[in-house]
Amino acid sequence: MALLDQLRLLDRALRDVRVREALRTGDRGGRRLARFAGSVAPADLAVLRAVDARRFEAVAQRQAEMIRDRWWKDRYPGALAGTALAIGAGTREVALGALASPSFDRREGEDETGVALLGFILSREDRTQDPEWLADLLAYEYLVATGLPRRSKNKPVDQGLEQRLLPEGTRFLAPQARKPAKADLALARKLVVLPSEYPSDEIREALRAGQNVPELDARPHVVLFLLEEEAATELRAPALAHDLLDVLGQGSVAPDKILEAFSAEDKRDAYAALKALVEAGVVQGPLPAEPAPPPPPRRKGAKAATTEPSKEKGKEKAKGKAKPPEKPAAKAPAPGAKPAPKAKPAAKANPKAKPAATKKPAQQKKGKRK
Amino acid sequence: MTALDLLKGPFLGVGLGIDVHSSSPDWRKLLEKNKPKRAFDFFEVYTRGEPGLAKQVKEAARGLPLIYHHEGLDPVYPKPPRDEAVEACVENMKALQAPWCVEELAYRRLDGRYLDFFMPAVLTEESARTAVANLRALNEQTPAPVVPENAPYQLPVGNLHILEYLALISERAEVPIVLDLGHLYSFQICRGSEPLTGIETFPLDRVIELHVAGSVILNRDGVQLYEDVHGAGEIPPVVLDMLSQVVPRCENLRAVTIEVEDATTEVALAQAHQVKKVVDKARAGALATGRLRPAKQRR
Repeated sequence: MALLDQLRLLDRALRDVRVREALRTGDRGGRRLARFAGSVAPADLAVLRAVDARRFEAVAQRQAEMIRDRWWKDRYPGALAGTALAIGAGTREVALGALASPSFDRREGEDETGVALLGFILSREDRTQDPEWLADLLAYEYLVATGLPRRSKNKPVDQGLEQRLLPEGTRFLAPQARKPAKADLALARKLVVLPSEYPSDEIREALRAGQNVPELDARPHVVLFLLEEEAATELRAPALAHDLLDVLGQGSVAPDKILEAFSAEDKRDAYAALKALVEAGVVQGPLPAEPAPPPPPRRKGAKAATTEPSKEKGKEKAKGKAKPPEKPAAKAPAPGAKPAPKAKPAAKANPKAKPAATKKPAQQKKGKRK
Repeated sequence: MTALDLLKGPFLGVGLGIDVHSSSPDWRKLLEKNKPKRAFDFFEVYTRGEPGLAKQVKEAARGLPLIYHHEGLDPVYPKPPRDEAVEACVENMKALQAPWCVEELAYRRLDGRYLDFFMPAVLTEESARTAVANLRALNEQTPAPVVPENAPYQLPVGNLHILEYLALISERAEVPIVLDLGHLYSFQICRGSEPLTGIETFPLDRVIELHVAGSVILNRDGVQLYEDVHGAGEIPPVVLDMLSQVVPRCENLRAVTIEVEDATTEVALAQAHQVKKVVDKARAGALATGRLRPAKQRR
């Protein structure tokens, strides 16, 4: 099977610069190559070693570009550009890295499940230079381009990849099968809740347009994908909406009970978030009475300590580590009534800050990507 | 009848290689446009799998000759061709009543996995032996001969010249050859050779069909890479020049095919006109000087 060994080695060499390097520099007995491509007889190695090294490199790079452009450029522009920033190189180098990684061997078709590229990005040994927003962006792009479209077509997703990619607080919610009482609050539609700290959609647009992403502060919020048969609408909502939806995901709730779990200082924000969810058609049922403003603080500074969300706390929330609102004390504060952050000058395509819940199409019909 | 008997047939003319799944060009429109004045003389049909569309082409073509172009038999892969690929090939050939089937000396699968790129044959003796064994086996199963075509190269592996490799296979498998001139040019670029280097010793009498198509040449850090874009690009003048030089020397030539996938209908017809002019001129000159003989005399 000498010929088959050659074909396997050629396939490996076109994908992995380490194999090309071993072929070029001369690899005594093929020991270095065996690490990547299994053992190959010296005579078979000689056939591959005789190939023009510059041409080998040029073809490998061209193939990486073609795969990047055909498979990933439209679906994961932010993941490509963000990872390029992290490694201090171009998107071609990201593609070359993906081709050489073990994740590439797990691909389906033209990386239909996203595991080849995103699996590679997540499994890089050195992630110290990753932009803070990259993890959010990967999860967001994955859901928009792959996770949601595949689910809508009843196609399987890569569970292992999703486990590594999506934050713990990601929820796939659906209304209860039993019709809720008219007087209760209940989920009105299927949706996906993605906790996030950075405005991934704006970062994505900036990267796609080749612009710089400005320094951004983490502002925990959730992205809601409202699912229809073959499409989804995207909303951005304050982090408190996550808690409300977690409660409603378990069943309908009487309006006067829904805010019980929130601390006195969160109640008004929670009410605002609930109102926005009802207005957006995510939740149905009558709103509770608007909570009274909290009593004025006794001492200066105490207010800031309770109403200004700390980054750490917010982070915990955004990663989904905070529990559903069973006990008011466990609540992570919402980022006030402020709108979700914007990507400032970088995001020319969407320069205005979004209100707490703004609609826009996340997926086009018939699987066309955003 | 052996595969080599195909070489005794008449010259069909200049035809278009089409992908029946593609709307650009739309083969139905091409057939319509071909009615008042014959712009092309046959179709070479690429169907990918199920024969349903092949049957539709056959019905609509109304006597226009049809050749079949398969992809996926992987004759240079060191295992016998997959049963389902052979079955699909047989079904399509029957549906088209094709006199022969063109298949490239390349592989699309490795260890059962569909490859991301079309991989041309490794150019070694062992690879040639593999191809010969596979072609012989294939030609026992198909209703008409499977004829090998040279694939495009960006990275030749192996010590043989593509023309040596083709000649070896034709001789040992006793099959005619489809010589793709653009693909030959791609190989010569890799070797830094002239476009027709090696043609003097090549058995051109075994060439049943010539292919030309649009392409682009990329320059990556001083390395030239030929990209086979078919109808999405122009046929390079150098390839048309190769055509004019090779046609008069292929005494058993039966077809010249322009692969036009991704061209508009207008571009496909314009390329047919362009190539016809070159072929007619080359053949007329060769017939006048006695270098080429009509099929009747050859028999």
